[in-house]
Amino acid sequence: MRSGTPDNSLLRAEHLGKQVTSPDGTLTILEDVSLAILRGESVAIVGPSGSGKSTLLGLLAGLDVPSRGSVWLDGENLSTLDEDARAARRARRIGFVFQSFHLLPGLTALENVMLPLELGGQRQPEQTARAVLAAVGLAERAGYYPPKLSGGEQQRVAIARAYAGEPAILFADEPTGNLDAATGQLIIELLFRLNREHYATLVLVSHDTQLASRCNRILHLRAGRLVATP
Amino acid sequence: MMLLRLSLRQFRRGWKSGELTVIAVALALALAAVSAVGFFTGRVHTAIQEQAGESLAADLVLSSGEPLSPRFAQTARAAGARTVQVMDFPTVLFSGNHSVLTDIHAVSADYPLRGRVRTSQVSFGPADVTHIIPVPGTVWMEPRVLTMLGLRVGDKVRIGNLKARIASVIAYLPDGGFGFASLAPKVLLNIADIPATGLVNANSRVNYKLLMAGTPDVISELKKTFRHHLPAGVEMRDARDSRRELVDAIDRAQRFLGLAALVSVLISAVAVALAARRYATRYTDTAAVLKCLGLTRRRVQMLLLLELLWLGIAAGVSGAVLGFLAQFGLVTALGNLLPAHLPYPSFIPALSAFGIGLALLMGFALPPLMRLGDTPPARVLRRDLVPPPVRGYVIYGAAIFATLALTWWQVRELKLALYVLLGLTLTVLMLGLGAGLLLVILKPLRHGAGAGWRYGLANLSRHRRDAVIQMTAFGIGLMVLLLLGLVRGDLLSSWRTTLPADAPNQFIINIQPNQRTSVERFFTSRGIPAPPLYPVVRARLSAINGVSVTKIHFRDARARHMLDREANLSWSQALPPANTIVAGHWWNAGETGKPLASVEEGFARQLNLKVGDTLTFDLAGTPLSVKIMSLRKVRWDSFQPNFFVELSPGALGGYPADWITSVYLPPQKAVILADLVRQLPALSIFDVDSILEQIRHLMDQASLAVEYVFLFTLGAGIVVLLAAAQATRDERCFEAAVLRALGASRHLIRSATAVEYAALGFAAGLLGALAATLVAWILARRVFSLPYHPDWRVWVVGIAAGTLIVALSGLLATRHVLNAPPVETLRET
Repeated sequence: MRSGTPDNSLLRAEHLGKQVTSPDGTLTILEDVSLAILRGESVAIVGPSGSGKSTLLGLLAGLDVPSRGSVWLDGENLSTLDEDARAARRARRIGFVFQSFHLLPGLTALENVMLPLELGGQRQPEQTARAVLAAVGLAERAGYYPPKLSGGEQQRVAIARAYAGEPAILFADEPTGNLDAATGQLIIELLFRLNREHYATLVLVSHDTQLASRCNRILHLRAGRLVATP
Repeated sequence: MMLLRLSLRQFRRGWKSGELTVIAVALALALAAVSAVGFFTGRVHTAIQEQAGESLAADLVLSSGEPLSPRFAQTARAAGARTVQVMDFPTVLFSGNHSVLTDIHAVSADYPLRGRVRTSQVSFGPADVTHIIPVPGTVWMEPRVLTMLGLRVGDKVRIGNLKARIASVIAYLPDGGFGFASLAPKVLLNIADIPATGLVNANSRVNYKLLMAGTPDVISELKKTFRHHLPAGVEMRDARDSRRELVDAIDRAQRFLGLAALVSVLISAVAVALAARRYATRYTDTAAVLKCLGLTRRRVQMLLLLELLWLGIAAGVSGAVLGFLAQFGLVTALGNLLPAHLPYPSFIPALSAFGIGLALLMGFALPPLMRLGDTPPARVLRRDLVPPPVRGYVIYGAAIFATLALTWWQVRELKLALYVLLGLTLTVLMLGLGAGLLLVILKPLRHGAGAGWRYGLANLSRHRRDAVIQMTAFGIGLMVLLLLGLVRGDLLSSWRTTLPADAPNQFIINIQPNQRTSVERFFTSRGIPAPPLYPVVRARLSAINGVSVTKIHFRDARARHMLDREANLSWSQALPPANTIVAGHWWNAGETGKPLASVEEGFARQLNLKVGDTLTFDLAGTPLSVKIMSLRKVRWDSFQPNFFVELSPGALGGYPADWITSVYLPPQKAVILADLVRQLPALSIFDVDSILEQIRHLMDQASLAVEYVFLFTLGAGIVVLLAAAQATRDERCFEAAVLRALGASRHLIRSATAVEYAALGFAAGLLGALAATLVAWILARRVFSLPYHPDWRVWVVGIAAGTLIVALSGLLATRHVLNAPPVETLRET
């Protein structure tokens, strides 16, 4: 299903709600969240622990389906697609960076970066992957397996993997959460530099106010609802 | 293409990291067991196929228990065929005071008509094709005879009256069959020497053969001619019949060894299932990331399927190579029972092993892995999200289907496959219940001893399900090995103890009427009471109640077989010892002159006979009709000469009979029989003890081969242990790290592990010994009707072997728990 994008937003959420069933009954994690994110915009979603940040990120990225409402990516309603169709959209248009890096331990740094390129059917994935690895300063580490890399290096590989496929939008979940302050700072610089260079849209979830403040816009989430101010 | 590359990379990494090692080893072991049997039986099969055309040493053979009329040979030669005369019979061959039961194969010139005899000058030495037959006064024999009597080429032996020199060792006889087809080794001699042995007379059990060879047209014509004019008792066979029998024999061996290998396969399946479950758990994060990066459910599953395929291929190749090497062990175990020249095996057993490997993977590894396709991609954000559990019917259904398919594949018969599975299921249930019970008993024992003891036993109780699986897997392996290794011998000894100490152990046959008094005097002059002599007449049953047996349809194959052979008839005034009447009555003094018979009840049952029926026998052309007066029960293990059919003393009139007797001689006195044979060389003496020894030797060799295959079962048990140890690896590492952080020494952790695995092995050994004893008891009491004396060695060996093997394997499998620095482990978790 397609809809026009009169407001020129790349990503739009309308009345999003997420409920899960637990042994204690039904738990509402998100309630009536609506937002729109423009092309090239960088947006931080902030809020205390348990406010539903990661759940919102998962819904916006098409990793999960909402209980109510809909998510529109580039005019297409993700909520009406099945898992395989959403996987295809993720492969083509979305990049991810996670707090715990999520590199595949069985693949080298280079192979991890090549993975989304290969999934997207790119002709010369190795060449591109090497170039992106060089851009994050890890050309020398291309043949290393993740467990042999430091936390900062692993996150740089993850960032390289996220940008290698030239995604329209990049989602980052606490990208500096597992790193020390100095390394975190380096990662932030790298993330924003690549975002500029690739003219990608960036949506990140963070506790880190310094990181959030680098974004064009900050959305505050509290108890599953968007609020105007912290 | 991308999936192919990715799967190869993932597989390569999984292989290097050891994640796939347990599955691979379990698979390789199962496939090694199966392919070793496959390669071995394949080689024997090919040997049979290659020799199929010559397995009769002729194109066509007529055989009979009586001398064949010369007109058969004349007809064959007139038609343009070449012919050879053969006489086969069992006899005892003497060397000094030692003797051995052999099969005499007496042949005339031109033997063999098809194929070539190969001989050598030393046992198992380099063999050459020969174009002659033994010259009169010499014999050729199979190496087994030389080994048993400690002889070599050039030595002399005695066969009846004939003193002959050993001129060659037989390496290959085209019509020699294979060792396992006959109990007694073959001795080849010139048919011209038969009269000199004095062993053959009208009542001797000789198989007379006429071998014929010629062009296909001639043979086909001869078959047509003979088919309609074969007298009763003459059988005609061509190469196809002969090959079928050999192929049937090797098929049975293949099925039996295949079943032994199947046990390893099924135990390995347990290891594969355990290891696959852990692999699936560890792969969940990878599956989530792959889905997050855009891989669909189907492609994730395809990726895993490809990884399994690579694993199957790698393990399959290793298993096939291992199996190829292992089959040499089987060849060694069966040694001289096999054809001297076994061809190299074909690739087919390896392919079949690959199929079994894939079936194992599909049945036991695939279901837990396939569910990874349903891993929620949002797991990258929330680790508590897991793929939905696989439905029970999928897991069990796949496993049951794979088990059935594998069993059927091995035994090629659905009914037998179901019986085997039923037996296995009962054994597993029995051992599983026993294991559960032992765990309950062990639980309270952990109090009161040191910390190592307490932690070790606590671990066992905590991983209850795994412990039961491991005990059962090991218990089965130990049970079969104990049964084969110890109980088999116990049963044979037990049977021997049921025989009276003075049960006759020497049979003397071929006593001519004029030698009766000499035999009796021989014993009495040496202070031994003269044993009773029994007359024997060979006859063929030709009609029942006036109806020719060729017109009666017997459904039972054994009944038909009985009619094909000649029966030994005897007569007696009084009911022989070890016989009791179960129907009718024994003849009284007034009836002894009438043509009456008493029939053994089993024989009567097979042929559907009852008191009052009339039997007609053919005594070398002379008909004899007798009426059944009684049915008898015979105690065959009395070792007295006993007969299916006893006649009243007057029934046979003056028909000439041979006489036989049996006598007990203590081993130190048995040498006097050599004197008897010197005096009366045409007597044949069968030493029951040495024949039993020959049987025992054959059984030993055969069971060595089976035990060898079952060693893989024990190996599979160790892999189950490794799989279970790997499944709890993270947990063990964490606990050890916490304990060590709290100040526990490496020694404490090592002793806790040792206690845990030693207790596991002890329980498995106990269960194995218990199950072996139970099966032995059932076999002894129910199947063989023998008293059973429990053998303490079963318990000692079972428990000691179980404890030792499991404790060592367990310590080896968990050594990383001790070696991992605690701080690293705690940081990782």
